[in-house]
Amino acid sequence: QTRAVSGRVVGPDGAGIPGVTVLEQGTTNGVSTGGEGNYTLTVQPNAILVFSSIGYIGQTIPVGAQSIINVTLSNNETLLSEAVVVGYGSQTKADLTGAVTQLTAKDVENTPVVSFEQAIQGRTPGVTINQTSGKLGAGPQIRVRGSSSVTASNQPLYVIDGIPVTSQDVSSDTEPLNPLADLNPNDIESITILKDASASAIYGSRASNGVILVTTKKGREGQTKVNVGYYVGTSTATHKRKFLNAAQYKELFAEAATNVGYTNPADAFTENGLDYNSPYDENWVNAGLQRGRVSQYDFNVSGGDAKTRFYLSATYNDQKGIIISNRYRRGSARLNLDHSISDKLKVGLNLSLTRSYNNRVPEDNAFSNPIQLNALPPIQPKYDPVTNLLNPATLYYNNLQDLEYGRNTAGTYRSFSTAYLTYQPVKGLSLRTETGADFLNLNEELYRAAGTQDGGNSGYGYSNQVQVVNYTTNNTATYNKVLNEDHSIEALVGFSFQKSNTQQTSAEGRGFPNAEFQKVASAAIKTAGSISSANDFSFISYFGRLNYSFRNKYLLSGSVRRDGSSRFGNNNRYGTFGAGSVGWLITEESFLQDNSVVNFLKLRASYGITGNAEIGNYASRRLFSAIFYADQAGIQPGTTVGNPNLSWETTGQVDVGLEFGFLNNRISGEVDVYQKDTRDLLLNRQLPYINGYSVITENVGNLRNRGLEIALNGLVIDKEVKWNVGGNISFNRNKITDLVDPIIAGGNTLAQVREGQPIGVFWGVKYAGVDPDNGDALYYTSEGTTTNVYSQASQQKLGNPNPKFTGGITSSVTWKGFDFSLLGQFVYGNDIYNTAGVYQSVNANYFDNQTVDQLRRWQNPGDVTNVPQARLYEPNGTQVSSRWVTSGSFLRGKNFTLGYTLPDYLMNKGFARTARIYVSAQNLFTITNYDGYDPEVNTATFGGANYILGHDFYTPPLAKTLLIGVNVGF
Amino acid sequence: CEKQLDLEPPQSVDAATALDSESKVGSAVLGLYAKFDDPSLYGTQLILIPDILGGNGVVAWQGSFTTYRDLLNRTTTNLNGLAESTWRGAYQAINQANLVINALGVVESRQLKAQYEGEARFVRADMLFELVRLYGKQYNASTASSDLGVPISLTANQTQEEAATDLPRATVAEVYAQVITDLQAAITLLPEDNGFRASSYTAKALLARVYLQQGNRDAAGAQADEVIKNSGKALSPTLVAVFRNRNSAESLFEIQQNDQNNAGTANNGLATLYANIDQLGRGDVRVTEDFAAQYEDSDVRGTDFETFNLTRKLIYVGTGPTRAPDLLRSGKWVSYGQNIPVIRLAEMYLIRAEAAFYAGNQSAALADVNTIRARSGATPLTTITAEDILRERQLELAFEGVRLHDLKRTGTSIVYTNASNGATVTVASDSPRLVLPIPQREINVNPLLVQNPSY
Repeated sequence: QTRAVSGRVVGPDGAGIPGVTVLEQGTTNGVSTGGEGNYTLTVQPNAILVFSSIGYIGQTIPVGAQSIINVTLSNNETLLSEAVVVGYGSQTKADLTGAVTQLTAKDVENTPVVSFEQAIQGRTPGVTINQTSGKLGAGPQIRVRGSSSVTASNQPLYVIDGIPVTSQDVSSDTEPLNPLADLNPNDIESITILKDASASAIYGSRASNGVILVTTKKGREGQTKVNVGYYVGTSTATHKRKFLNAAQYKELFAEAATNVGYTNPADAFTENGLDYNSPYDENWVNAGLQRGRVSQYDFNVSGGDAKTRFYLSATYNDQKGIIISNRYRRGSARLNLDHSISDKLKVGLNLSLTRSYNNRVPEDNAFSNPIQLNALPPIQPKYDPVTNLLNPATLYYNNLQDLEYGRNTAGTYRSFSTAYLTYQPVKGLSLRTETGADFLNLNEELYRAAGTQDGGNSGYGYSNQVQVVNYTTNNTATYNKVLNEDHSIEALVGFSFQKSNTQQTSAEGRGFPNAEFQKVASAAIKTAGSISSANDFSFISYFGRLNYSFRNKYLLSGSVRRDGSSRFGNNNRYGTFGAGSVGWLITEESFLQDNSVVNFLKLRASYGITGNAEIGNYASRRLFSAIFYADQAGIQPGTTVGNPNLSWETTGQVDVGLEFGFLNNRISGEVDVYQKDTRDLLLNRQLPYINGYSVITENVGNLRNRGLEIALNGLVIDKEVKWNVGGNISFNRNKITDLVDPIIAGGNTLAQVREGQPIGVFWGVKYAGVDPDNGDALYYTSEGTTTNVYSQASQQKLGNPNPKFTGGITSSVTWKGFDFSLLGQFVYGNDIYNTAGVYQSVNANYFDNQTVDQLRRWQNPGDVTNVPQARLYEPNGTQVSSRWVTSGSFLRGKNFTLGYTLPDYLMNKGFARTARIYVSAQNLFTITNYDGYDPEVNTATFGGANYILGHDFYTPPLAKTLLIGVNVGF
Repeated sequence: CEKQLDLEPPQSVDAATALDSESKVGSAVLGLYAKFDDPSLYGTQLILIPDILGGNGVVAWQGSFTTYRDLLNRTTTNLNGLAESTWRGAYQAINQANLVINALGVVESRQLKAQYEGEARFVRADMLFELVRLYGKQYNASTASSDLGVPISLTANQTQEEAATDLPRATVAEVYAQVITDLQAAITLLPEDNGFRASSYTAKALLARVYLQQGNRDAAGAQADEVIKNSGKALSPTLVAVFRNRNSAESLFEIQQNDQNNAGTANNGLATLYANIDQLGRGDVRVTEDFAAQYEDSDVRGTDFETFNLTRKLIYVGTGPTRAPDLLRSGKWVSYGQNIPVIRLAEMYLIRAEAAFYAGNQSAALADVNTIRARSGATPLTTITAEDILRERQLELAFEGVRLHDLKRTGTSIVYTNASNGATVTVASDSPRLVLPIPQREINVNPLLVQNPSY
């Protein structure tokens, strides 16, 4: 009764499209088109064929009596019917009942970034991505629908080709290295972000922060394609903060000294080793920055036949950063191979190897951080005029010496690999087993010669090896069935096991013979950083999902997962998570079918429970560890109290979404509203120190995120000129609804966690400006009056580091061979606290160079200003307060690209298939009122706690990059 | 498969079995000493805080840490990180001492059992003593039973409930009573010789210090006398040797450090903050010339204005490139891995001298003070006053964390000249700004705590 159908799939230009998926609807019976767009498929009677390919609008055609079906696919600017990767499978976008954002290769290819998350900023409704720092390879901060946790991780789960990968920093530095930088962005086929519980609950106890699924490119049957790409560019800091020049510095500090009684202000300079009569005017801000350079060589080959498909790539990326000494290089190779042993049996292998090498920048809080050079007085020269060597006699360490006499590198070897076997014993049933391994090897090397600050008088060396072996096996069975033509069912059951083991070995030494000896082997004294340690975690999971669709009109989906984790207490080791969702394709109803205005309308709703398990591996345990006393070892209890009841935190999320397409899908979009209620927060609750412990990890407290996401896309002109405009905006409101005690980050930060307030609320003493009569700094008291006595001021809310809304704007124009695209990114309504303000903007309290705004200091009775009188050494407005809180809103020209594809008639004469040249600008402009270096900032130097948000501390700005590139296909 | 979820931490052991044998309890006792080396305790702060907080006229702070600068300027706030970490470190040590005492049942050797208990009580007493004199008012017999001291925790906290218990501040009198009880017990429990660890004489020496701080000079003098006569300790031939060599003959209690394990080489450690010898040390603390001028030329505790490599004295001229040249530095803290003397015999002589003086025995007082002076080449005194004894303590024990406590117990105001304008500044010894704030974080989580005045 089966019949063979064949045909050819062509694009709008009439050329065959290879790699189009031709699927018998409701089954897994399908093929891909060949190199010329031809296909042949044997189908059941009354079958319906679904043609889909990324970048084209899919079509659904009933076979009826036809044996030849030729199809012309039009370009899809709206992506409504693309295949969307979901947990342990894929679905067409139309059938989805969850909130999912999917991005494609073109969103991440050939952008001058270290890791792919940086390239998708502004394109992800509901997902905020903060690069946190301009250091190459720095760990970005990603929040899917707000912060779901206070002290457990808020970073999403990353799954590459089905395997959860190591995405936590494993480096020894305070500031994280981003382990996802080891994935070559040009190898990415799609990035799918699972946002609501319906989409993510299949990942159970690790889904509350959202899940990011990355799928790498695969080969397609047809002619072998070779692509070669190259780009080269140059970069500078997006913005530099302005500090006093020598004349201004002398004026301000002489005044500050005079104001505290110095009869000869030059004495105050001399006391600190400064020469009031110095002839120098050094720009130390510039000394820490440089012109960067980026380049990338990219090569890939893909193709295959009916039995075997392959994708092979090699890329070399070299970025010299804008911060002096910073450079990141990555070479990567990948082979993705799929082979059909028989019609029923397929095997495949994804194999990648990456080598990256990062010349790092020290953490923000280190004197060796080049941005901290801005604290140096401009009257001190960079080079000693006598020796012509770097001047060692500066107020703070002239850390340029570190570059000359040392190095700080992090090299990584990384392999993400997956092997799979699928078997279809009977029609509709697919068994899949896959095993993936993520091997991460990090080698950090730090050397500081004698004479540098860290090197002391004899030199300092550190070497650290970290190996993370993280493997997973997934075993699933998927069953598809269409009953009576109306009822389409897809059922999935599966089992998964993951284990991750981390081993670290480091060596540290002092006492090197001279600067030519740089390995710890040459150090006379091996010091306390010489260690060897290990830790591990494991997960056992069982899961299932059922999707049901009635006449492709009413959609129903449910999923469940049971997770066990080694991280939890013995009393609560297993948890069950799940979600249910419904969808209604209104346009499938008779009253809207063939409507010329509304051609796609889908309403969906979901509710589900997910978890978060990202805490320390042994947080449930009360442990003793070793402690050293000269050459003896003792033991001590940990500072956390064990909690055998410790369990995951639970997030219940409700989501209602509307997807629409009007005017032949020329206008399309998606609106989602959601509420996420997290309860049993995995909280490091602060304990009174008096009992000997600092914190206990407990499941206490609740928080809520609610929000609205809107994504719109319009094909404004669809003629020879095609003009596409899109945008997205996301509103999220975070509120701590229940908390035992406020959490105070302390130090010089303003970050707190308080009931009734958003996470990381700025809390402290509110600055009230300057008393016009005497130049004293004033603060607000609890009565609303002002005081010049800091300790009498009251603690209050000073700001909110969480944005009111974030989003992006995209537009693209194509005309003949030209293409132009732009991406804008905006963040609005958040506050930033410049933690370094207590040093750099304190009306000349100490000899740190000051920001130019300090020239507006109070000088005479009656002066109205917000900068207090300059008083050397005396605290006049110098304490932590709202004085350095400013708005962090910004609008950034994230990416502009202009390309030209050479016309076919030229190509036909040569041997190349396609050729495109392009110019691109990244972070071209930033519109902001933030007066620091860059508003996209979030220093990790204060311990990197989730709730320390929006703090700047000598944090380097991002790079503005201009590049030119070429891609040639053969 | 279930077993795959049972993963043991590779570099820790479970608390349930951590103290279940004699040798394990012994490890925890050693851990107590290791705690002392923490920068928040004797590694840095228990010595530097009292020297900076009462340090005007003696030291100046040149570093970038505003926490210390605020202490010196008496502008500290209740968020001061030093006040928080010392509080935390001291109570961690106290709880570990309590855990040891609680676990003594498994120690079979009676001798070791007594020693371990004595050591734990010594640690607990010492920590409570340091806390009460930093965070409470100076002991005053007439108000001590109402003045707020610090919470006294004597339970071995292990469970969630125990760890979350709120305790109020005990009175200053109660804290001193507990300290004295523990020390008297330690004196009987500890061996007379305990290697480089606390012996019964260490406990007696600390008790002398406690009595002195309380104003009980007779009792202090008796303990000091006992230590001088019977401990077998002797003054080191030179003072500098006490700080260059490990465990000198004069040492009654000394924190052991080496190049691997010490209080820090970058942001913590006494050498890190005091030293200024090329790239060794940050040179954050400098010694004022006014203070150095109090030493006679012949006194090797003073300065000859030479650099560290050339000096024959204990105050040298710094050579670090990022600090102005020609500034004076203390030669007591000059290497990261050096031991940290906490109690040494010279202090016992000065305590005995003070007791003798107030008991009317001027000649005994004079003899003890001159013993100390003679060792360092200072001219012997021929007459003696109370001020002389106090001044000798300042000269001998400078930069060892005694200054603030001496000023407070003797009611001596801090009088110094403002470096910039020459004005004379006087700070009363009972100024609330000379008492550390209870950390605000602690008040937030323990509502029974009452903040100190002025914070």
